[in-house]
Amino acid sequence: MISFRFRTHLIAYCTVITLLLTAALIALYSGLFRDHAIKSLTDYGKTITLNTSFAVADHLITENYAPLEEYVREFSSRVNVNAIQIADSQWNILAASEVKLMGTHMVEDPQGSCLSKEKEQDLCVKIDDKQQLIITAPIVVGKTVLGRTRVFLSTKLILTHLQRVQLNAALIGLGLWLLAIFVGSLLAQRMSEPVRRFMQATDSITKGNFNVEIPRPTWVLELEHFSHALRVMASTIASRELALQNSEQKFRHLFERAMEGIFVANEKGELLDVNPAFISILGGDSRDTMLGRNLFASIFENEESFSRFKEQIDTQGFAKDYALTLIANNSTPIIASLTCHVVLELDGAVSKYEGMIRDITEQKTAEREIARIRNYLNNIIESMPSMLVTLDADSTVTQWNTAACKLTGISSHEAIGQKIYDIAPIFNKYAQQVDETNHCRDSLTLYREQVGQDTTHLYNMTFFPLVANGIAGVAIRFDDITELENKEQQLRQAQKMESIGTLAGGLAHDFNNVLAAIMGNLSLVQYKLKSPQGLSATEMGERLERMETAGQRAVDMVRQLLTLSCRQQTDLAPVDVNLSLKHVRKIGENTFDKSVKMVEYPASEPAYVLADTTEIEQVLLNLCINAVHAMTIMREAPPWGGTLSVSIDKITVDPVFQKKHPEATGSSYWRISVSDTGVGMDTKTAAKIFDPFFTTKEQGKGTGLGLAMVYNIVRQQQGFIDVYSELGHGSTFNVYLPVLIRAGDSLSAVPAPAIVGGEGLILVVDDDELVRDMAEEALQVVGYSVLTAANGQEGVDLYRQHQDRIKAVLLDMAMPVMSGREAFIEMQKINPAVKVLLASGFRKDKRVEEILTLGVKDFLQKPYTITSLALAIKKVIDS
Amino acid sequence: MFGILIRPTAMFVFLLLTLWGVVIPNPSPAHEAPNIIKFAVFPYKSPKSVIEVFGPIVARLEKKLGKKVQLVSAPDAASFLAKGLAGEYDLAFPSTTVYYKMLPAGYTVIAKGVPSFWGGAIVRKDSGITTIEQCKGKKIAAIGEHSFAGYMFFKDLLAKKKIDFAKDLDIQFLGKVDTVIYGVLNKKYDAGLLRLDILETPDFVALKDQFRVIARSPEIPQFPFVVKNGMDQRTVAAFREVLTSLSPGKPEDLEILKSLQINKIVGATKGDYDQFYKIIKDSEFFRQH
Repeated sequence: MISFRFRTHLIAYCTVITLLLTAALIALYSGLFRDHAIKSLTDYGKTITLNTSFAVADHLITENYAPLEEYVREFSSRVNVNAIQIADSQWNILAASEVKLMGTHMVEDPQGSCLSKEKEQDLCVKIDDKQQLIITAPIVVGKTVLGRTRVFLSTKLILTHLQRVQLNAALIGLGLWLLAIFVGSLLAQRMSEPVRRFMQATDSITKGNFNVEIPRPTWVLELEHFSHALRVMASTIASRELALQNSEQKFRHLFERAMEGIFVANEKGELLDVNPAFISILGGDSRDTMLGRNLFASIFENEESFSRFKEQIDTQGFAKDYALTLIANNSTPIIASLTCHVVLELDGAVSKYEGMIRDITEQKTAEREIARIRNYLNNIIESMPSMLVTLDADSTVTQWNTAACKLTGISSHEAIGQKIYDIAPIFNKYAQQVDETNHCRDSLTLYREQVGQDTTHLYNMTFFPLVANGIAGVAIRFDDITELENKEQQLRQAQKMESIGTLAGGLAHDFNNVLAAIMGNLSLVQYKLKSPQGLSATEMGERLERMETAGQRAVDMVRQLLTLSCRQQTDLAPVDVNLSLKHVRKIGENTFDKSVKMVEYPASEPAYVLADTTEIEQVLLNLCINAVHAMTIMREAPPWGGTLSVSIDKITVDPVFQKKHPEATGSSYWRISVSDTGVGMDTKTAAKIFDPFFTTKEQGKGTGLGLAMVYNIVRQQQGFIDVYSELGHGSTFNVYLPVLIRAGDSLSAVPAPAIVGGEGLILVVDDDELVRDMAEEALQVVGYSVLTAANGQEGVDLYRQHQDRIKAVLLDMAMPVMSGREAFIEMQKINPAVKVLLASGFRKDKRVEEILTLGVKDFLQKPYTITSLALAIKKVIDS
Repeated sequence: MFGILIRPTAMFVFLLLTLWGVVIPNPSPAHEAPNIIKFAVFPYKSPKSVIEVFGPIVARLEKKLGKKVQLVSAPDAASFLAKGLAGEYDLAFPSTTVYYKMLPAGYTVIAKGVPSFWGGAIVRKDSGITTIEQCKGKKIAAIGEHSFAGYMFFKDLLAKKKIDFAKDLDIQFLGKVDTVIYGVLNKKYDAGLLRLDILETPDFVALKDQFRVIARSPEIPQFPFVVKNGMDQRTVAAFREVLTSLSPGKPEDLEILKSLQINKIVGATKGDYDQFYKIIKDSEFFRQH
């Protein structure tokens, strides 16, 4: 039935369409052809009339009408031209194809009779009853109308052709109509069967049977393509159905296994679907008991909290992580996070609610604990006396404690979130350290740093790398060590004094020996000079040389003591440890117990380190004193004595060494080993020996500061110490100091300076007569004249009297009546350009520095020699 | 013989005229102008050029008179003269010589163009020809036989020098002045005959210095505007007013005056053409034509 109707319709449509198309084509073609033909004929006629008009214009002007007939004859003979008429401006026919018309009046074109009228050429085109195309054109020269030409054209050929075309078209149309009926019937028959089968197949696919056989017609390309498309569609739908099932299964699985409680509720809040987690959170028995329950009544503890939630979800359409407390099944209250979306209908009405609920009780508890710990840590950080600042990788401040606020004057509120270099310029100089710590992930410490313009405080600055949750940063800690430093210096001084005290006994003994040598030789010289034999010049020279030797020894002893006792600022400079060892040995020779044998093994090359000379010597001396004590006073019973060995050698750091000494960060070190054969110590004692005030010596024999000081000094020089000791056998202290690489390490021997002579008057002011006389003599020997004064006041008076002649003043610093400083000031009042060389037995300390700043030209350390005195005086005069 | 024949004819004409005078009321000498006024222009230009030049004047006349004015010309001078003599023209612009010949038909001069002009014989300056005698045996370019300035005056001059035009010269009628000028310039002709004021026009003034004038005609008046005798005075006055109102100060009038090679049109009478008539009346050309 369906096939039949389809077939009938198909045939009917085909035939009707064919007929309509044929008729339309014929009508269209006829119209187009006629229009085109008439237009072509009109153009042809126009050409003839215009040519005629142009040709006859001159003849009309000159009233020479005879040639007009010739033109009429010529143009009348042309194809489709039935007749031509030429008239003058008064419409009088001057020439015509039909001779009988000559002399008659040309019929004027009535208004509106023209099919078309071209204004430019004033042409009139029309068709008369005999189907003649009549074209009338004026003969114009300039604006003057001389006459008119009228051409009669035959349309017979056009109409005949048109009739023939219409007849042919009708016949063809009829043929096509019959053909269409035939083809339509055939096609309908051939198409209806596969279409029916296609419909059966689609019915099966609709019912989910994707394995149905789909027809494969091969004789119609479109049906073949349709068959292929249907098969592809069936296959695609089958695949999609399978994917949908898999997806449904997957999401159902997720739904069922989700830790969050997932729900779907209708517009009234009645639960439509829930997952097991939801049932668990709400303490339900089963899914069936939950479905139909009101979601909001189940999870909100009271109407007020529900109203707040409802207001939010009604205005925003969703609620995200909405925290609420619910009591599930009368059990312990739990904290839950609710996320809910409203699903709307097309008209905007609420369709349903979807969302999930999560038990965040543990999370909230953890958050509270974290907050508590954070608060606790913050309190610690804030209470720290040290400034603590943390930065992120972009140098933005993330922590700024109270100490930082105090130090910089910038509050944490102002600092946090800002670039540290923008808010605290004092950090600009540490940008490199911040970067290094950021990149190398190693901590870094700077010692004794001054911050900003404040010179009264010292800080140890430590840069720690921070890595937290994958975010890198740096923690900077400023420890104010000013007080500690002061204390340390005090302790150091005390320890020095202790060392000096230790040394004093031996020193006094040796000093007596020196004095004895000097006094003995003097007495011998005096005796021999008084004796009849007299004293030969040779012997005199020998005696004087012995006295000088003894005096030089005394000078060395005093200098060492002064060096040790001098409380100086730490001056880091290249120090040859070999030389320091030599100095310590000199001190030790005179002070250590004679039962101890000291053996040295200096390095084969200058052992330079970057340190303070005094501190290095203090380290060596302390270690040596401890070693000596271990071999003498710390022995429970005699005999005292042993061997003190001091060696210096270079250590190149290798992995084995570094493993044993993790402090070793450099590539090479000088190792100074101080070994004794003393009492030794056990491991427990060895572990405490660097603690301040720890001592194993008897009461009054040790302060417990020596090794602590050693340790401190070595650490400050970026070095470290290790100890090896065996009880009853002795100990070895190894001090490691970084090797200082110097350009041109080899030191050439400095030649002894020559004695520099001079001339002029020199004023020598010194309260010590021996020194004053010696200076006078020495200056005179090298060519100067000398005035002497016994104190400052006397010196000032002499200077006032002889200021014009005095070239320079040698001025002692510590004098009675008037000190060197006061005397200099007075002399400056007399002559602001006075040239003074200051001499003192003290080292060049702050007092000396102060006088130098007042305008004293130079400083000469006592005791001086003729060489050093002459050189210094010469320099002052020439300055 | 002739007297016998003439006498009956004269009698017949007399009777006819008498009858005409008795039977048909004698129209007043100053008769009304016809509904269509025929204005004939001597064919000195192509017919279309005549329409283009005189069309604006005709339009003004029509506007002035309120009548149709038919502008006509003629294929040639002879036809023009024939129709003029037949009295077909109400208003005419004949050449000067044709005017003289049209006089018997009864035409009156009402206006003329000024200034007058001269004809001349020109040669190239480098030709070595300085006198008309040297033109003997040379090729001469002329305008036409009817042209006094472009032919006749030179023929008369040569005749006075006893030079036979037909034998001693090779005369070519070229019709147009530019053909004459360029013919001489391009050495196709040894001498050229033309209106000398042509050389003052913008088209040729640049070439003027390359020519030498070896002969000059008497002063030639411009073509006259004539009306048929008996035209009513209102119409004549209207003609004269329209013609003399052309002013070189108006661009559209200037075009007309330039095409006529005149500065303006002034009122004129027969007397203005008597002097020139005396000069040419005995010439061979005038006799022949």
